[in-house]
Amino acid sequence: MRRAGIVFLVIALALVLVLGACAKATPSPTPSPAPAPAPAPAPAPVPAPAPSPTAKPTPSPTPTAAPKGETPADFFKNNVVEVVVPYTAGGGTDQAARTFLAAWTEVFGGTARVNNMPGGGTVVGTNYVYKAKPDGKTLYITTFGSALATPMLFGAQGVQFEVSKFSYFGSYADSSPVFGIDKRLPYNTLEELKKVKSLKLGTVTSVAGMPTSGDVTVIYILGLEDAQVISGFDATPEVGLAISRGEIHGMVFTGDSMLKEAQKGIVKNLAAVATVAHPLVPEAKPIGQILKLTPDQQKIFNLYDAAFKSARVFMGPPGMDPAMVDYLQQGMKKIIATETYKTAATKVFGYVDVPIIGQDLVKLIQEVAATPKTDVDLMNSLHKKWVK
Amino acid sequence: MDYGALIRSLANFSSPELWLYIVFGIAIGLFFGIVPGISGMTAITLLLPFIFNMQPMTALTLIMVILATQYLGGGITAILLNVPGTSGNAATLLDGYPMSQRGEAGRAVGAAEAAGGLAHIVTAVVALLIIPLIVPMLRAIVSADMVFIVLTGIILIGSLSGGSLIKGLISGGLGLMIAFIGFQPTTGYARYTFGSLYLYDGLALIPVLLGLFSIPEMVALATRGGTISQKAGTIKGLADVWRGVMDVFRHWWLVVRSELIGFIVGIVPAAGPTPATFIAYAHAKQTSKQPLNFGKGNIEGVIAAESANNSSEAGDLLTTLALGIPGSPAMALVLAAITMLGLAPGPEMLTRHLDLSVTLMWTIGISAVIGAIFCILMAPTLAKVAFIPGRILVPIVLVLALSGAYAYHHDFNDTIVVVVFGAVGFFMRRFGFNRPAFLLGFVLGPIFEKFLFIAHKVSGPFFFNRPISWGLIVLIAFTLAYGPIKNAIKRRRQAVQA
Amino acid sequence: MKLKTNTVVYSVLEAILLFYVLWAVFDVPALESKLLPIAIGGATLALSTIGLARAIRGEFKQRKEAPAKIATQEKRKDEGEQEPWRGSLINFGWVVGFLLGIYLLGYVIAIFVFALAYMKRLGTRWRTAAIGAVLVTALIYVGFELGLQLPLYRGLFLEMLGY
Repeated sequence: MRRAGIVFLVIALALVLVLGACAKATPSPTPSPAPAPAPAPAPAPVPAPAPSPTAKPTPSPTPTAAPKGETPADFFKNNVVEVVVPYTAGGGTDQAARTFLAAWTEVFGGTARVNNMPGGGTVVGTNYVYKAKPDGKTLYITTFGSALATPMLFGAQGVQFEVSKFSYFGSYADSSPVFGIDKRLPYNTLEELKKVKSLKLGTVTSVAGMPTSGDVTVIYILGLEDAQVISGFDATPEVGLAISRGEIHGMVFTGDSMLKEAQKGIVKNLAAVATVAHPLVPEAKPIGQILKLTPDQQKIFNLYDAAFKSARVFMGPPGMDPAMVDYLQQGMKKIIATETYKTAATKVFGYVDVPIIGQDLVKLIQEVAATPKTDVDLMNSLHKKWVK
Repeated sequence: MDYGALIRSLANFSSPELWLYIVFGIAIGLFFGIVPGISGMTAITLLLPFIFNMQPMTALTLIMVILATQYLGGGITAILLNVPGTSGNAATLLDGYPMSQRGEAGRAVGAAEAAGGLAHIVTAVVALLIIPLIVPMLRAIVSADMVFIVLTGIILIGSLSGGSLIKGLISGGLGLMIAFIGFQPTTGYARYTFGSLYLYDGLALIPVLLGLFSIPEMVALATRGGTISQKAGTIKGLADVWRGVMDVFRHWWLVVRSELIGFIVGIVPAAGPTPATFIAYAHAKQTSKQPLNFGKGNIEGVIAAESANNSSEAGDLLTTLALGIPGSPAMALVLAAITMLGLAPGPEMLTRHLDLSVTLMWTIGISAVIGAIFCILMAPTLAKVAFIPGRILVPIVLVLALSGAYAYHHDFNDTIVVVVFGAVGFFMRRFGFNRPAFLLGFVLGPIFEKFLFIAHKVSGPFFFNRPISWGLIVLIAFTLAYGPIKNAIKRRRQAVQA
Repeated sequence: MKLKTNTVVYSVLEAILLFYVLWAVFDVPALESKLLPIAIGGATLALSTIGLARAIRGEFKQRKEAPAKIATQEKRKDEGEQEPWRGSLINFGWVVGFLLGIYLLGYVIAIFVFALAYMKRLGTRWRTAAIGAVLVTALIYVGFELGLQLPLYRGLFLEMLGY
């Protein structure tokens, strides 16, 4: 009996090793022929904003050419690519990354492996990618708002990168934030909420010095001086649970998260804190369409809308070969168009979004970088005022 | 609730494919549980890329089997080598390893596996029965109540104190203090990081655990020489193991209480198996007729710890399915898998997908029993590890500990933490400070702080003015008074007899 | 006057705890962030002070009564229950050396070197030590790098050489 047990364990161990080996690069038997990449213009340089107080940027390396004779198509077909995700496995961005990479082999022919690298609120992962060799073997999927825009505008501890210098391929899976309140409350419009005293909204803890709260934006727009934003929760469902317990009254989170809380019967969604409604929560109209915003409110709204996007950005270290960058940009478009991605995205996000590819993304980052300092200071002061 | 689903779902077990996944999952779970540093979570992370192409039933079955059996594997390493295979097995080594040193490794493993298997099957049944109550229960417990639930655990630090109460309390205090390294849970400000990004997220549990317990014992073994078992003797084979299994049934009331503690702590979001195992251990010590034997090889310590950590799984799963709030990092992965399979965690899992949820619960129980039986049969062979010369074993265990720490987050800094806490554990052991108390403070500190400040912000300074909170305050007062009252009654009886 | 172990231990603890509390008071921003570290640190400091006071009082009391006899009994008690200091520290030194080896040479090389050297140091024969070192290195490499797809840290030297 004991021998049988040992044999059983050895076989199981062998199975695990086989499983692991299967996850390594195995070229698909009929790889899709990659089109010969057209010579790509160098990406427009993003103007560098004032460096964050704790940043120690390293000089940007000269663009690395692909190895002689190997086109980007051959390179990605023959190599295992490490895709760094600066969050723990299982989180929202990790799921989004795996959804995207589900179609990697189909499009590129090779294999992509997720390397979860949490720490320092995404800074560890971003630093690592910034310093990685720009040879195409290390790529990055992260969140636009918390990983890129926020350190750029508000600074962060331990930052060793400059956002403008990365190689950008595109962004996907953006999810308009939605504001929802406790379903049991007798208010159904934003106008009614303006009269509420001591409104309490909940949010996930923001790393100090880096405001990420849509709640502050909503409170400012509603003009609720005595409102409170209570931080300390770990994730959206926990905030939803606090609402169902009557501890807080509402929250602002991504549209798909708010839809889930509404389906649980916890919240009613009142408005999208964005310029477009979330496709799955169409009843929550953009806040700018519901209320007339003052110039200062518009500034704060614009800052929040641009800088706190939950869109996932697919990017690489600074100095990547322009041909490789272009190839990956085109490849990203193809991934989003595959049935594999669409099926996976429908399961995970509930819908298939429209990505922002290449220059459009670079332009967006330029716009965020150009945010006036006065707007940033105003957001900081609102955060200090209301977030308890 | 549709109680017919309890029986209907059993029909799923007629599928040979499901059984294949169960057996495969048991092997993976045991293996990953045994190797320190990696756990069921690592296995599931490796499986995530394949989830998209699997059926929900088979994918989730595989995941739950791995999570259910990892503690069974981890208990073996904890008992034989004083290295916890997973964080949930941390308390098992407190008495499991001393039993190995006494030549009773087989008995300890038998008790651990039997307690673990039994805990899974009992709590799976309980979880199934309370499905209609779980959401109202969780919604009734607010942040203020959570403060006192966690405080109940913290005051048990005193029970773990052993020889010197002051040193025990200092150890617990030090654990709490170390837990405050990193960013504060409600303000986000960094504390005691000294500019280090690594320390920004605080110290991880696994490296601290590996350092605190494995290194001092291996250093001691290397210095002392000989084998782990300091008692020469014949290995009695399955008879010894069977004695351990029978011990579980002999201490049935302890098993019930420990399972209850584990299940309740598992249900509570953000708690996880590690607090459950220590709270049950401390409670067992407090209520034992031989509390002074704890930490020296008392079988009750092994039974309480393994009953609790294995019970927490079912409660954790219930909360994850019902509310979409993971009680532990492992359940966060389960949640991710559920989403990637196109399902939505929440009331739908207990209504529209009730059959699937019920099947998962049954799977936990059935796979744990099979895994436990397998480990019990293997125990006589495994127990021989206690007789391997230290000159061979010590380097191997140290290699496993330092490599396991790296495997946890792929970060070399974790390996440094293992050695640093190896030094801390070395001096704590040397000077009579209490490592379990330290660990309990370390684990409960962040949870306590988070709920304390949320409760205060939500309800003001009198946040405790609620029936459930008052009930918990009375329970805390009772727990504090229990020891002295018990001693007073004992002294009075002795005086009367004299 | 030679101080007893407990007195030294509590004294060191006092210094560490005092540093911890003062750091919280002066360096940690926001009251909410510093409240619990000060409270818990302060309470632990108070307990440590009590422990130190007891240790010093006990020491003075015992030295008055029968100093030589008590000192011998204490020494015997310490050494009877614990391994010798020197041996323990040397063995712990090996652990630190292993860590340094991993940092410089990487996991695979350091594991092989450490396992071989330490087994030999502990009294194993060369052949057994060599076989053990090879097996444990293979186990870690196969299990972690190949099985779990977890690239092990290569070490400072290899990384400098570009591997």
